[in-house]
Amino acid sequence: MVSSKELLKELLTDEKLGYCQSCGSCSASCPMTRVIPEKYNPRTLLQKIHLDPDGMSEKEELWLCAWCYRCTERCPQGIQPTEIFLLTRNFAAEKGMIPANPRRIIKEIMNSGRSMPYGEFIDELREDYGLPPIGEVPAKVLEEQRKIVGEEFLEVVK
Amino acid sequence: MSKPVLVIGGGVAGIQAALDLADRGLKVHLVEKSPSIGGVMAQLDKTFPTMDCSICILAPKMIECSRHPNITIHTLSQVTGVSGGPGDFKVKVIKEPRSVDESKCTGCGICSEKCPAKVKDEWQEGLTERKAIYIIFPQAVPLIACIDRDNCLYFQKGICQICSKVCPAGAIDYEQKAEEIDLDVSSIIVATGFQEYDPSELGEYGYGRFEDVITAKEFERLVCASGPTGGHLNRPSDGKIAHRVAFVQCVGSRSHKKGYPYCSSVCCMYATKEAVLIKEHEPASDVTIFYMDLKVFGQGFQEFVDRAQSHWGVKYVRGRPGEIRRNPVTKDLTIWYENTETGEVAEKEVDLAVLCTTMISRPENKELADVLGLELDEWGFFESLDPLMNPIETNRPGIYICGCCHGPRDIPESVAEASGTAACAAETARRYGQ
Ligand SMILES: Cc1cc2nc3c(=O)[nH]c(=O)nc-3n(C[C@H](O)[C@H](O)[C@H](O)COP(=O)(O)OP(=O)(O)OC[C@H]3O[C@@H](n4cnc5c(N)ncnc54)[C@H](O)[C@@H]3O)c2cc1C
Ligand code: SF4
Ligand code: SF4
Repeated sequence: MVSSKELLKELLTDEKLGYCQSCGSCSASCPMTRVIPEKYNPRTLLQKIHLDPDGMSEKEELWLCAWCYRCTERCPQGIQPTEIFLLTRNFAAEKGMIPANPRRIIKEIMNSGRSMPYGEFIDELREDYGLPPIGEVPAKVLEEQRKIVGEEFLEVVK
Repeated sequence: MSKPVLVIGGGVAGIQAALDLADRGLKVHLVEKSPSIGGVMAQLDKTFPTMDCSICILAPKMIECSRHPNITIHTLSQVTGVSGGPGDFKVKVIKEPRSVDESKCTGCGICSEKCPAKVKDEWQEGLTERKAIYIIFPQAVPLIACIDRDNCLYFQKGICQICSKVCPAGAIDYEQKAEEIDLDVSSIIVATGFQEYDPSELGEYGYGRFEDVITAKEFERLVCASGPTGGHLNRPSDGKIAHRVAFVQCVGSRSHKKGYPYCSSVCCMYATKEAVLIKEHEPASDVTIFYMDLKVFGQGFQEFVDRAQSHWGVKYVRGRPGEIRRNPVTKDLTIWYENTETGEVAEKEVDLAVLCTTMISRPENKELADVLGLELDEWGFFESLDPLMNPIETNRPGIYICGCCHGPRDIPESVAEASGTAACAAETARRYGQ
């Protein structure tokens, strides 16, 4: 299997990220930048990753992409920021460097099968729209999910 | 006597080449596909870097072509076959029927006035309508009406024939057939120009969905006194005067994904020109140019941009907008952008957005290149023999290229090249003539 690092290296070459014109289409399209412009900007994040992919592992910024693919869709140069951010994240995760917030979300998913805590209010909301309650994720499904994710990863997020 | 020279394409480049040759005493056949010579320059309002009225400069040259005893203009015509070599090319030209007798029509325009069939006016960039029988624009050369058979009620449904009833000169001729013309020429100059990139595929800018997102070429018609609004900046959706205007640069150019990777070379300058035109109309207007890099390399160009900024107050923001949204009630547009110099991400509300689209090759180049035995580059432009030392010669001796048919360039460069090809053609004629 190709590691995150190798894939990332490929995306960061002169023929890929080297074509970035720093035009700002990505940052002007990013919904996260719109909400937290002082904290997150895919254009400058790409520059930082380009200069020092290893050094990025500890940066919170890396984990703010909402993975909507708008930047990738609109980048005139065919650079794939979303993919680059995901791989840089994977690379950081391989080293066990996952900040507290994403770690909390991952734990939630592993424990409940959902990224958001489940409560009765959700079923009440659904009722308003005439939807059936969703209930807990069945234990069998959770089991399956843990298998897919793999024990190694579970160790990392512990 | 030397044989004549064939010039294909009657834009400013073809016109210049034809006049140069004719003034040297050589006969010229100028073959133009559309009903009039003039090309894109005839559609422009004013021209950088001098801010001259475009048609005022071009029209006298067009008329000179039609009056010059050495020039024969063939409109609605295309080259369909070429054989032989330098000094002796045998050329076949097909002339589509005008359905109007060129020797009788006086260009009075009564036929168009009375014609009941309306269609989109392509020459006005679709911003208004014309009739099925029409004179393509007021300064057309030749100033002769033409029936667009695809939209004529007589040709489509066998009814009407009003034009033939009202024409005082009896010039309407529904029976006219396509004509084949054989020419014997010493050399050939190709000057078939360019076309505009269609930005609809860039969904984020809303072209085709939002009426007030227009291309720069459409803007030229909108701002021109002979345009559909008489030169007032009434935006297409609701006619509101556009005081807040944004220009988006590099639309379809400098892109490795959608569009084309090359720089279109004239857009930074024509956007600046168009921005200044808005300011000339209404100095209080708020005009912003969103650019990636300002490539203003020609003589006096940087000064032109500096003046647009300092004297006219045109704003330049470095950043390629991410998207354009429209308020469905007010029809106003919002541009999302990052000022990449400051890192500030912001939105700007405007009345009109102008997309500066790249110049692309004409799809018909392929057929013409096959007929002429010429090479095209990967983007469909005619290829130079050598881009450094023989830019206007081709792989086929005796055939020369000038203007935008071999890549984006401005008028001064097109005209200079045209004179270059005329000199080459004259030399070929001399060498092979008796
Ligand atoms: C929006 C806009 C604004 C511009 N503003 C400026 C400006 O201010 N100043 C400036 O210097 N430049 C400007 N330009 C650039 C300028 O328009 C071009 O440099 C110039 O028009 C090129 O002339 P041309 O003769 O090569 O091509 P064209 O003007 O395209 O003429 C080509 C002619 O050939 C004909 N033709 C095409 N194919 C065939 C065929 N197969 N057979 C026969 N005939 C054919 C066409 O009908 C046309 O008449 C602008 C361009 C745009 C898009
Ligand atoms: S949109 Fe693409 S080219 Fe432009 S700054 Fe972002 S990654 Fe670079
Ligand atoms: S994929 Fe990530 S970086 Fe790109 S626009 Fe969406 S949230 Fe922003």
